[in-house]
Amino acid sequence: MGRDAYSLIGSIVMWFLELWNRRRIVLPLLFLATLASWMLIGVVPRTYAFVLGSFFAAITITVVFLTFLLLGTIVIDSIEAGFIPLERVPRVVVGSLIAIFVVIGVLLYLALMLVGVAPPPPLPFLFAILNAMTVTPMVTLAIVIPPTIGYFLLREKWRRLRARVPFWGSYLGLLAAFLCLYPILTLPQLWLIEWPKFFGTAGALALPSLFLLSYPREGAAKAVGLILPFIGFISWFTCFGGMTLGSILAILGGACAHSWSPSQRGG
Amino acid sequence: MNWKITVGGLAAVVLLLLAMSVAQVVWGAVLYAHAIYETIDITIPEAHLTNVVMKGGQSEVVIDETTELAAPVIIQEVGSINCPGGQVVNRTLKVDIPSLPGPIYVSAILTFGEASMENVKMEAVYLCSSGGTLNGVNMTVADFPEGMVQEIASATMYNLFTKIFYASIGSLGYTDLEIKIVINIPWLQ
Repeated sequence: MGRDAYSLIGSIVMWFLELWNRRRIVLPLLFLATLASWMLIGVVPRTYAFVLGSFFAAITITVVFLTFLLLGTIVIDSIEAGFIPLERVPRVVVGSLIAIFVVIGVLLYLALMLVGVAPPPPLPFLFAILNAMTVTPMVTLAIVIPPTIGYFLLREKWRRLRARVPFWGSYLGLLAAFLCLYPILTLPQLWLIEWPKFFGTAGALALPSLFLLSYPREGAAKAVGLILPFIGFISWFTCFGGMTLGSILAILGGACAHSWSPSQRGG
Repeated sequence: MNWKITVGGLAAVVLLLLAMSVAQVVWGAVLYAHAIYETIDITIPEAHLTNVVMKGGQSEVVIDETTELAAPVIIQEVGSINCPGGQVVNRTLKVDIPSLPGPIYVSAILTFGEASMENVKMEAVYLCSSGGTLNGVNMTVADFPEGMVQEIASATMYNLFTKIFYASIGSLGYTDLEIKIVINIPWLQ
């Protein structure tokens, strides 16, 4: 990586750190802006342009708020607690920026597709998007709540928990298992139809995740870190990727578990 | 987080979806409406079906909140469906936002030139056909919630229209797919 790139990353980190140091002001402001943006939709003139415009503005502000909250309570907290060594900070920042741009890119494409500017995706991608849309709000909340409560209310316990067990690997694995079961949990009579596929995939994700909690060792975490993404991929043949997000969370959970070690605890 | 596993895993998933797109085949697709009022409407001008089992069932979706009445459904298991005249699938999502005066409806309308499906399981709330033939029919009375189990060895149905809220498709092959996204905001001035 060139010197200019390092300098740019350093500037971004410093800018975000300054912003995060003022979180007592910035977070409530962003939260209020999010609330206000959603309430604003109800009072704008009821025309197509105004309603869609304010709707997309509300989604944008919500994404900014959640991104700020997640970066602060996960990435910055991990750096402060020493889970991420200083020499790895630039890589983590680059990775986080890429992840943010990918998420914003997907949201932008969806917005442009809905207003008819961008073409719809091929059928398998459309199925994936439609299934993900159903569970996205629930999954977002499930990911945001633990670090928010942990960081603001139980910081020391939260850090000790992540030092003791590969929390994110297990948690995302269990969340992925739940998403593989989601269709038949919401429609119990479907348990009689192809239930082994749903329960088999969910079990294959849940068991290694629970094993990590009961046997938190580096070797076990590395093995589970490879198993979870593999099952996440297989889930596309058994339960359509656990409403799409189940597969993605299994891959991310595996990546978190694999990187967890006694010397660099943060997974 | 291990970036190699993250990027490798996500790339594998995207490649799988791309391969399915190129092959014009979808495996293990799940069509899922979130509630009974968001049914997926399927129109098939001509359908050839084999190994059909139809029975009554009960959905967990509550259609009347005051009486907590659950929706009765028709559970259909079909070995294969061949649609030489194509099919139209319309899935409408009702988006309820508390600050809005009413819901927004987002419809994805899929029009297939030809389609063939295998190992299809559906929960339907409405089914009708203008005509056709049924071969090897066997009907048996059963207890609640099935009511009656109907087995059909093979069938040809014309102008088949079904309203479903769950479909699991083992594999779907298709040609000439057209996808349209339509947003409907009924309360706009």
